[in-house]
Amino acid sequence: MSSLASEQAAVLALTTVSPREWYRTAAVIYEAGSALELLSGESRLLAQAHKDYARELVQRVGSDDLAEAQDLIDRVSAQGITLYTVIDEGYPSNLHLIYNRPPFIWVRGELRSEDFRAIAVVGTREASEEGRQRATRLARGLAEANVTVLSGLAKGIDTAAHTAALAVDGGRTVAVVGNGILVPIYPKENRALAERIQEQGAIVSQFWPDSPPRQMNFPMRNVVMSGMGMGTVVIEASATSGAKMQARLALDHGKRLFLLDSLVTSQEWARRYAEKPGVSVVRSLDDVLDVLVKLAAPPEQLTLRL
Amino acid sequence: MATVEQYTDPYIAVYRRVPPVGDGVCTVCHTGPGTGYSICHSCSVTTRQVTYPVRHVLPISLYEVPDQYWNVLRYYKDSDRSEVRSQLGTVLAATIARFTAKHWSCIVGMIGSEPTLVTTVPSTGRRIGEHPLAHAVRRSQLLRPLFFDTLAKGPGTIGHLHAADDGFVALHPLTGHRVLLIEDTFTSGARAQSAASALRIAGASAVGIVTAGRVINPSWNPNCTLVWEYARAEPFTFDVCCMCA
Repeated sequence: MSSLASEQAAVLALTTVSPREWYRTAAVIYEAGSALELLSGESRLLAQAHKDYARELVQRVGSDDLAEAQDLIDRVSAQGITLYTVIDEGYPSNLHLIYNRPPFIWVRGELRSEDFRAIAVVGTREASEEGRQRATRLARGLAEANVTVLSGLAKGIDTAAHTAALAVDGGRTVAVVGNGILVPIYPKENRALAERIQEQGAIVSQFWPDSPPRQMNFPMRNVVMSGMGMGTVVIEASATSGAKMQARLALDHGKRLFLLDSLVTSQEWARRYAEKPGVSVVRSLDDVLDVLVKLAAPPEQLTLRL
Repeated sequence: MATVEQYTDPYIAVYRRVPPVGDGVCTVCHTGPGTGYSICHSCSVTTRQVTYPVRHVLPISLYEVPDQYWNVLRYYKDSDRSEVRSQLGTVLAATIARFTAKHWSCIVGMIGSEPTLVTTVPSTGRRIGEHPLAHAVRRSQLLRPLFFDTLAKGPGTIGHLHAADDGFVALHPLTGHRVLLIEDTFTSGARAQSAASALRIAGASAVGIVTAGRVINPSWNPNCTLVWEYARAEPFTFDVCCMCA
C-alpha cells in the first residue's frame, strides 16, 4: 500500500464513520493536514471544536474500515477514475475557498489548475427554447474566454451549457453530478454527452461511488458546483428549482451570483435576489467577464467607492 | 476600478452581526458572558493578566468553527496555495478597509481621539516575511499612511487564556501615540490584550482594538446561544457596527 493510498483510505474511513455533516470531517482533516496523523492521535488542530470532533471521529473508526476504504479505492481506480481527497494536491483550489467542501471527489476525465477560472451555468430542466439559446451563448462566450463551464449534466439548461462549451475549440466543461461516479449517467439521453465531457473536461462526484441519484444528493451537489466556480450564473429557473438553491448557496459561499436580466424580469424570486448586495444582473457576457477579471487578479490597493 | 465594495458585497450573507453591549453581551468582546456576569470568562481572565488591558474591543463579525468566515480567517494566511491566499486575503483586506472607513468615527470614539498609528498583532509562531494581516491592512487607502509595523514576539509566553505584558514587545518608542490595533481573530483575547499592553508599555497613550472576527461557541452558555441567534437573525450591514447600533 503506497503512503498516498493510505492517506486517501484514512480520509474515506473517517468519512464513513462521520456522525455529522461530511464537511465537518473534511474541515478537520484539512486543518490537520493528514488523516493518518489524526488516526494515530497526533494532531495539529488549532480550533477546540475541531479537537473535540476529531477525537469523536477517530474513536469510531473500526479495525476493518481502512482496508475496506482501500479496497474501494482500488476497485474504482481500476476504472480510470481518480480520487482527490481534501488533502491531495489535485483537489480543486476553488473548493478550499468554501467552508463546506467535501472530504473527497471522484473524477472521470481530468481537472486542471486552469479550472480555477470556472463559472457554473445553471437553470431548469424544463427549459424554454429561449433559455437554451441564452445558456448556449453564455457558455460559448465563457469557453472562448478560457473560462471552464460548470454544470450539472441534467436536461435543459445544463445540457445546453455543456454542449456549447464543448463546441468551442479547447473549451473546457466540468459536470458535477448528483450520483456516484460508477452509477450509469442520468438522464440516459446524456450518456453520449457525458463521454465527450470526460474527454474535454471532467465529471465530478462527491458521493460514494455506487450511490444512486437520491433527492437529498442534489443540494449537496450544488454546494460542490458553487464551490468549484468563482460564481454561478442562473439562466432560467423557477422558485422551486435546484438552480435557485444554488443561487442561495453561492451567496453563503461569498461567491459571485449572476442573474440573467430576463430571469429577473420574469421571476419574483430573482427580483428579490437582485436587490441583495453582491448580486449582479447580467445583460451580456461582458458583465460576467468584467467581474471575473477583477476577481482573478485583485488589485494591491483597494479603494472605496466615491 | 475595483473597490472594496466589489470584494465585500458578495460576503454580506457570510458576515454575522455583532450585538451592541447590553444585558447578556460581554462589555469587552461582545460574546455571551455567564449568567449574571457582564464580562465573559475569557475576557475576565485575559484583561486581568496584563497591565494595560483594552476594555472594549470592536469586532467586525462573529463566526463559529467551521463556517465560511472562519474559512477566510483561517486560510488567508495558512493555505498552502497562493491562489487561495490571494482570494481570501483580498476578502479580508477589503473587509477591514471597508469597515474601518465606514466606522472611523466609532473607532475615534473608542480610542478617545483620532488614532495616530495603526498596527497589527504579529504572529506568535514562526512566520517569515511580512505577516499576511499586516499586508491586508496596508492594502487599505485609509490605513496605509498610518500603518507602522512595530510589534514583535517578546520573551513571555502567550497561550489560550494566557496573556502576558511581555508576550509581545514594541520595537519603537510610541510615546504619545494613539494606536488602532488590528487583529484577524479574537478567541480568548490573550494575543490582542498582550499586544495592546505592549503598545502602552512602549508609551502609547491609548489603544483600541478592531478584530475582523470574534469566534463564538453557541452552545457554550445560554447567553452565547442568544448572541448567536441574534447574530444570525439580524442581517449584517456595513452601515452599523456594535458601537453605533
